[in-house]
Amino acid sequence: MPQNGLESYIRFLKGETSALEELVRTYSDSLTRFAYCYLNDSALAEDIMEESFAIFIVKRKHFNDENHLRAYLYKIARNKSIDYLRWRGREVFLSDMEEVFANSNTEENIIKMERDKKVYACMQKLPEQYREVLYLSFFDNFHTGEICRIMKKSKKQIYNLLARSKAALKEILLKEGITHEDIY
Amino acid sequence: MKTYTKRTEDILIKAKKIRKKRNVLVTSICSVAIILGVFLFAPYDNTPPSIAKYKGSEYFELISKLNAITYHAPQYENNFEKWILAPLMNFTSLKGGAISDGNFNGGANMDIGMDVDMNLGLPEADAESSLDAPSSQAPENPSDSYEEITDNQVLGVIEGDRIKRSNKYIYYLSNNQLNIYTIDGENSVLAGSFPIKDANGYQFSAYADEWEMFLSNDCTTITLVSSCFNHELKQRYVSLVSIDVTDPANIKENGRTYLTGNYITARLVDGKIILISEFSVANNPDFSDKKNFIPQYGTADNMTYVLADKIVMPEELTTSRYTVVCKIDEKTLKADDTAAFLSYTNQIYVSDSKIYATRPYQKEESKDNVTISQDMTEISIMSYSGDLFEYLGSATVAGTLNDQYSMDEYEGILRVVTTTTSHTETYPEGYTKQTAYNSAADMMVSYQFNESASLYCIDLSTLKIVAQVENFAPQGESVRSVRFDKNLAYVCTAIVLTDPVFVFDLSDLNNITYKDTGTIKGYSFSLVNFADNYLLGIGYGSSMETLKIELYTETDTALESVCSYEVEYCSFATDYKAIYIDRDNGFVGIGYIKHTYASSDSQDARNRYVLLHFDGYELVELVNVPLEGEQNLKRSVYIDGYLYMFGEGFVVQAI
Repeated sequence: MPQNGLESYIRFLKGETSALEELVRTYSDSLTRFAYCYLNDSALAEDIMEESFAIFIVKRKHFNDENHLRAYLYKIARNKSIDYLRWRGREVFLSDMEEVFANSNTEENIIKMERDKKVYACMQKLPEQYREVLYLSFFDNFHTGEICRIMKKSKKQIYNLLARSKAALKEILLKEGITHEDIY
Repeated sequence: MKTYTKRTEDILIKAKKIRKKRNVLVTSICSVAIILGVFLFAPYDNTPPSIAKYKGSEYFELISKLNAITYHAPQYENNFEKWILAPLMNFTSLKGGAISDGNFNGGANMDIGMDVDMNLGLPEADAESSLDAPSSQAPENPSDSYEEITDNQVLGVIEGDRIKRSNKYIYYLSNNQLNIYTIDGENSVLAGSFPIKDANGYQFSAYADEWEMFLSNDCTTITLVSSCFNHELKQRYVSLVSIDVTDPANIKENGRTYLTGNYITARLVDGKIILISEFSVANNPDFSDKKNFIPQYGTADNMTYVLADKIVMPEELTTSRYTVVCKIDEKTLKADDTAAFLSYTNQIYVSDSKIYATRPYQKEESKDNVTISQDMTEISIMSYSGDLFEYLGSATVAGTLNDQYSMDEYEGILRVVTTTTSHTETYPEGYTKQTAYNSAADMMVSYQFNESASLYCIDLSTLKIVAQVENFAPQGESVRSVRFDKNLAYVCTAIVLTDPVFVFDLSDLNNITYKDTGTIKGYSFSLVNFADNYLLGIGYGSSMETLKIELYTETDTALESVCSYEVEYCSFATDYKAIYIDRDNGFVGIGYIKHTYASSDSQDARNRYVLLHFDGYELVELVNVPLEGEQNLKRSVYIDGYLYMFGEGFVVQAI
């Protein structure tokens, strides 16, 4: 979990433009992947991520907590993605997943990236809400409270959604021949 | 795959675009909101328009008064109330079942009716050429002599009617044409007819029930009075059409002239027609165009406005309605003079030399916690005996008048009978009407309403009341009919369907005495002095569907009923001119339509005309025949053993 996002954001608000790049480094990859959950298109996901950042810095909202900042950013990305899907219709196809993970290319991340890619690919076969809640929970390590805010649902609904989506994902992973050991 | 730096740059570019977009959007929304706010919420101007620019006009005083009374502040405060709140409220009230609201439906229906009825126009002035001396050029028929058949209120002051006659012909206005019948008993025939048309050649059909006419003393000219509406001028006019009837087989129009407004009444005195109309000024008139607020008269191409000094008006106007009087030569149709009474009503009395116009208003007096409102009437007097009208002044009496028969001029005295009403409001101790307004004390007011009848005698040389009998009728009764006969005055008062009839002896104004019939059923809407000191009452019997004709005679102590004739379940003529009165022969004629009938009766059989004869003891039915037509438009005349009856048809019956 990124630790310096809030500090970078405060510096950016004070006028330090370079702090924005730090913020982008911290959140842009995960945000792109999150958008990809909806759009299944890497270019579009990249675009939505940039737009979400742009809206975020235009609004210049004040935060006291790093998690709130992150949740807010995801919320923007989620809304933008849903808006796009509404506008375009839901005829989007899975493509360029490699691109989504391209920035996670450090040595120590390669194994994790391979593993994530497998899980991520299986996740794309799930319904949209399952994908969303799994991504926020496992890839971006959001707390249930933050997921509630992003997805505009109650805690109980999120717990139920998580339980069902995990069960559904497990079935798909087993069909694909991926076992529990492969993941952990 | 973009680098983080590239991503940051792209984000900054997008942020810049979003900021720009947002600024444009915010500016647009603000602008629209401001414009919309101004448009919707800017308050309407609710002060009367400035009339300073008319200061030099001779009508300035009139304009000032009219501006004050005709100005109606906008119904709504602003466009928001008008376009959003009001339709919303209407919609809500409609959903609540207010579809049957009179204003909602009535207004629309009335507009349609007006459009249909008023499709008329003034004729072109081509008739003007033949107008100058129509009858002087027409061949006179010395064998024709004028016979008066209208029961005029004042001897020698001839009232317009739908029927007139000479010794040879009967002239009757039927629907929209003039018909001339020969007087030849059962062999009478239609000698000629003349449809009245407007400038476009369309037959006049609107307001046909208001038509009246005069026959000249030499029986060569019929002067028809009718109403018409001019779409171009958007005004209603009374038109006077002169028709040459020297030869019934070859009737032709001599010309026509106009007076603005709706027709009220007309008189013919010594070859001069006194034409009286009413002209209303609309709300918020445009004072730059005189036709919107000044009455006009003249020919179609040459209308003249009434002069400012010929307009009589009170200090404070109570209505924006004129009573317009015009003196017109019967032969040439040239107006000698025109005058107007502003804020007056259509209750007009015309004596042999004066016109009496009436203006009702309310007088309010407060003392401590008691406020008394009383109905008053100002009677203004205009002399027409000279070439020009001359205003003589006014007198005021308490109460309101019933009709033209409520006034009578006799030997320099104007006698007036009024319904006097007063309304007393008693507020709690310590409050007045003003201080109680909109407070709890306003809910604790006690009201008392008094209604009765009074008789006033006004000396015309001083315009002062010289004698009066106040509140002679039982409490709560109002005047239903009045008739003066020299030194006698007959008054019928009533509450709903019971009446006493009073007879006053006015021979000594210092000692006015009266008798009455006591309470009897029904009431008379017309009282007529009949043969040999009998009084004829024509009106309602035990119900509003019962025709009752009753004769009264005066005894030493009271006015007693002699006999009566009743027809139940019918509608009948209520216009006095539709009742045929022949005092010499003791005849009374009236049209009615039965509401109940045998299954074998046709519509024709239900619509009837009856002639009654008073033989000294009772009213005997001499004629009762079917006669089509509207009851108030039916007329009849008895000549040499035959009764000639006119409606939509023509019937002659030997008696």
